[in-house]
Amino acid sequence: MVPRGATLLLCSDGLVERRGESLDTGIARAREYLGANAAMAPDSLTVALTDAQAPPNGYEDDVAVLIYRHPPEPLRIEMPAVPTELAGMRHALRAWLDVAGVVGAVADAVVLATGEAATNAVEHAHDPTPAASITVTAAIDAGRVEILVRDHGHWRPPDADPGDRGRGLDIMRFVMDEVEIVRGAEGTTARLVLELER
Amino acid sequence: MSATIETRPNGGGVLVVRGEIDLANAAELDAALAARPAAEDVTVDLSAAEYLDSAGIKVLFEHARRRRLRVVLADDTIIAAAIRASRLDGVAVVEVHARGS
Repeated sequence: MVPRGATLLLCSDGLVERRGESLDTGIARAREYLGANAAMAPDSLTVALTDAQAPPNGYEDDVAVLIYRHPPEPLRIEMPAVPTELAGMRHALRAWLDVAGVVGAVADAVVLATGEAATNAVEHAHDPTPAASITVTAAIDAGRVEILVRDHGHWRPPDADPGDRGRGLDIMRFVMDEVEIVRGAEGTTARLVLELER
Repeated sequence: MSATIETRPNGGGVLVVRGEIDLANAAELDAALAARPAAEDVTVDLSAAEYLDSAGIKVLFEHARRRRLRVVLADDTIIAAAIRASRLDGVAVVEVHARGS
C-alpha cells in the first residue's frame, strides 16, 4: 500500500548508475533527494531530480524518469474568522496543492475560489470576534479537487448584498466546475469542486 | 502577507502593485488610488502582483466610476482569472500582456 503523499520513482538505470559505484549507492542518492523534496510538485521534481543526480561530466546512459505522487492526506485548516488570516490559509492550500501535483492555472483556480469563499465567511461570520473560526478542507478523489469552507455564520444572499459578495460568488462560479452554498442553522458551507482531467 | 504599491517616478498616474491584495489590505489600494489627483487617468499595473480577489476588484470598480482607469495584467495568472471573471473590462480598460514580458 502506497502511503499518502508518497513519491514513487520509476527510472532507467542511467539515472542511478555510475562507474566505480554500486547501484545501491546511486539509488540511495536518488531516494535521499526525493525525501528532501517531498513537497515539490511532481512535474518540477522530474526535472530537478534529473539535474541534481547528473554526474560532473553528464550522464553516460539514457535517462528516463517517471514520478508518481500518491495523493496526500486531505488538508484541514482551522482559521480565525479575521481578514489577516486569509493569506496564510491560501499559502497552506497552495503548498498542499504542490504536493498533490496540482499546479498552474488549475491550482490558481482552486486558490482563488477558496480565497473568495473564505473571504465571504470572514465578512459575514455571525459572530464577528476573532474567536470565531472557519474550517477549510481540501481533498483529491477520483480526479477532482473538492474544497469545503465552513463557517458558523450566515451569508447574506447575493441579492441582499449587491455588487460586493455577489462578485465573489461570480468569481467562484467562473473558475470552479461546481459551487454549492448550503446555509444551515449552525452556519454556512461552501462546497467547491474542480475536475482535474480537462 | 505584504503588498507594495508604488507610484512610478515621473509617471503620474501609474500604480505598480506587488504582492497580494485581499480583504486584509484592499484599503491600501483604495488609499493609493484616492491619493491621485481627481481628474487624472490612472493605470494600475498588476503584472507583478501575486494575488487579487474580489476585495481588491471591488476597489477598482469603485474608482473606475470616478476616473478613467486602465488595468495592466499578465495573462495566464490568477490575477487574470479573477479580473476576467469579474468583467472589469466593462468599466475600465484592461490590458493583458503575455506572461514574462
